[in-house]
Amino acid sequence: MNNTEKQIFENKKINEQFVLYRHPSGCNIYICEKPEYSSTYACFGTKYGSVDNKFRIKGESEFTEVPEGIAHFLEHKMFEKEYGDVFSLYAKTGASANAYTSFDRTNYLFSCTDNFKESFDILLKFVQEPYFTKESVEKEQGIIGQEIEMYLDSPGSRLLFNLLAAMYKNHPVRIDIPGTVESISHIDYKLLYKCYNTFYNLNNMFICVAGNIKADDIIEQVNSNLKDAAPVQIERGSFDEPQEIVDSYVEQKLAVSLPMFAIGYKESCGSERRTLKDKIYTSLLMEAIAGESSPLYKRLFEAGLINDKFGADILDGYGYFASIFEGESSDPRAVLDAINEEISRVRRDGIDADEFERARRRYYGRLIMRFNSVDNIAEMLVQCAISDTLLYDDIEICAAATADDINKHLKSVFNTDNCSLSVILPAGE
Amino acid sequence: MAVQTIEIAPGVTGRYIPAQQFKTTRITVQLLTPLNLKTVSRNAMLPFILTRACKAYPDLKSLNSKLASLYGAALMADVSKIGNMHSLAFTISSINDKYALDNSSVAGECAKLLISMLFNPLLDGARFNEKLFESEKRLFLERIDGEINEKRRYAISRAENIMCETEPYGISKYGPRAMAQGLTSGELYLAWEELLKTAIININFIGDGDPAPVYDAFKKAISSIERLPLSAVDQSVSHEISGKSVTERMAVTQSKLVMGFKSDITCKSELYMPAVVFCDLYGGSPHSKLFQNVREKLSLCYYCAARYNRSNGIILVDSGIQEENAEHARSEIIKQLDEIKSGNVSDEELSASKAALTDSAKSVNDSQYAMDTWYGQRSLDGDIVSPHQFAEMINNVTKEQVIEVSKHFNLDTTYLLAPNGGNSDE
Repeated sequence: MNNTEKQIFENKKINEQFVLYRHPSGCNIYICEKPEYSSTYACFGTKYGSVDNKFRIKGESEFTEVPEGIAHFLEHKMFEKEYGDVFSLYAKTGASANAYTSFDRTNYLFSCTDNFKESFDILLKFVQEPYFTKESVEKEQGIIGQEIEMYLDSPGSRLLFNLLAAMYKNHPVRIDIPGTVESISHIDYKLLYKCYNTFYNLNNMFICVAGNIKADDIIEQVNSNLKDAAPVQIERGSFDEPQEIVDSYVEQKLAVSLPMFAIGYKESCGSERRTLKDKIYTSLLMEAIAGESSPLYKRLFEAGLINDKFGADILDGYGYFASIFEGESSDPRAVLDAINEEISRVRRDGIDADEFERARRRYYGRLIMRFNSVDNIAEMLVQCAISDTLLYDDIEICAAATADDINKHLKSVFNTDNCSLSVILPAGE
Repeated sequence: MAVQTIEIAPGVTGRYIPAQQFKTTRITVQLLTPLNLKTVSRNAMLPFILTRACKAYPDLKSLNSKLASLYGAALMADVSKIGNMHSLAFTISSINDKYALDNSSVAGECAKLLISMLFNPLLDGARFNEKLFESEKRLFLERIDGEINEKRRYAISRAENIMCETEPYGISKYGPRAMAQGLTSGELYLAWEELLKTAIININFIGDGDPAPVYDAFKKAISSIERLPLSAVDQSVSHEISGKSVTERMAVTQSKLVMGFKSDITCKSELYMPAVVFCDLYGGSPHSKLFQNVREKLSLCYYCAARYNRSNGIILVDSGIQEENAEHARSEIIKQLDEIKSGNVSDEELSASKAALTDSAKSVNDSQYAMDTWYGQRSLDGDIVSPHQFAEMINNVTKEQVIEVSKHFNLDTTYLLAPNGGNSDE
């Protein structure tokens, strides 16, 4: 092993460290040793998600456009092999295995306490062995069809996807991750191979492991299992996304008790992703403006306009960055008006220094709490692989942030003219 | 280090679960009382109102500001059913002192806060502060109404209500809406007084610190109360098979099928461990009969799972399907149980279930939440089996035992939550 390829990063504030090993194929391997835990969480993923539906590889003249939901469909089909299904292999080791597809990634994972080496072998092998047939694609359409229907009844999922469709005109973040029953009917095994051969190239992939393992053992096992392949250079289609939102309001009726709302501010982004600092400053602002200890939260709560489901989050990736407040309310528009009014007020008066300090402490404490589980640590490493950041950057940015910093940052976010409101209304009203 | 248990007061047990690997300390106070229709609503509302304000932090802003300054300490209330007992839990979780930016004492402050929330609520004489009560009542009603939002969980809870409709376990954990609607601040005060006097109380301390100050503070706080703890009631349900089949309709796209099987095998039975293995093999893992057949072979669903209630011996199987496939799924779910009953269990299936169950038990100690849940759910067991002991016991289960135990499970209730437009029946 070449030592220059292995780097150790540590953070003394929280007494944590991890290893980054850059495999010659371009696949980065992130490892966090946690000998005081019994279990290990390992994953092997690709920077390929629902937004990657228009692409070409270097040398091709035309872009390929693929049906909505194909990345997720491909994830399901990776578990089926000529010899049967991958779960039957894990059944022998006792590992709990799974996979998921989101906007910008597909990730295969398992966690276990015993037989790690055997399970890791299964993971490394099966993700590198595609096996798609006409029959197996048809069989999966029924299963995924039911998964899609399940999400159609999930108010939280509808709330978010309706919001994204109201905010983004062209960016594929606006489409449902699993696609529709109609869109997945256009998927065939040839298209699956096309996507696999493009995006499941080691150059576009990552491996993250956290738990009761040794970094050198992981590196050795990875080195003996990763297949040689020429790197593929992927060119993704441009998003051509305007600055403006599509609709300021969208609603749907579902069987819910109270109206649910999501308020999204479409932040300027271009085709790149915004920096981690932008993300943390925006989170701190959301915490200071509408967090549980803010005056606004108290006002809304006491007026009966929100309940304890109220919260804030950021959704970001290449070409999108949305600051979202969501919750339940008998009057979503009144909540929207109150938030916009508060944003105007703090823009004028600045964030109060005490308010900022409470927001910073709360956020800082929550960042540390994520290090409580090996699952979380491994998933945070995945986020590092996707966004090309380092594990403790957010803690350092948060610790160093000042009220001045975020007051300056406030000028660049929460444009109230670029804001959409998505509402789920109780069916029958 | 092993788990250490001490008696703090009559019916009040402190349980110290040492765990050095975490960044946080987690303290849970659990109150256990028999489930009954008369007290269920007021008891269920109590954890929420007690964690919303107290004398020292009388409103949302002051309490939440305190929690934020304690590095986002999380104060949580939880209500659940353990067989025929109502479990009311109060939890505080906070970062350990060494991670604070300013060397402040976070964990100790949090423990004090939790105890003062329990013992010094915001009262007006013999009632809760009216403004606090009215605000909390709105939230409590919204919580009850909001149960329909998550259809899978809602269908399971409806199936349980229908299956055990004449028994304590058939009472919803928050009680009927009409009763919540009629609650008064005086009744809630009575519930608080009554529970501190009579509930079985457990304090779980999970973390790196010293639990003694927490126990001492609790002991001091409870010393003025004359403790008359109730004993736990019988956990089982009637074993009579009703054969009920109920369809309810709602504005949904996908139907949810829930099938309830009764048995006489609970955590107190000889065949308890085989029942755990049986449930996994039937519908607990991707290699299980239900996953392999209802999902993989027949493509009827995305999920089809079985879960076993250790307190009362009920297994619930649930699946999200299209309504026209409900009968097909139902008969396949029964067929797969019959397969096990007739002895069709391979060595691979058995060892896969044992491996999955032991692996997951051994990982309990890697999460404070999982540890808290493990000991909380077993708090009526007397001697609690640790996750590692449990894993060893799983390994002793034989195929013959699994087949034998499967014969104890019989279908009692079939519940279907289906889209509007079709026929409802009972």
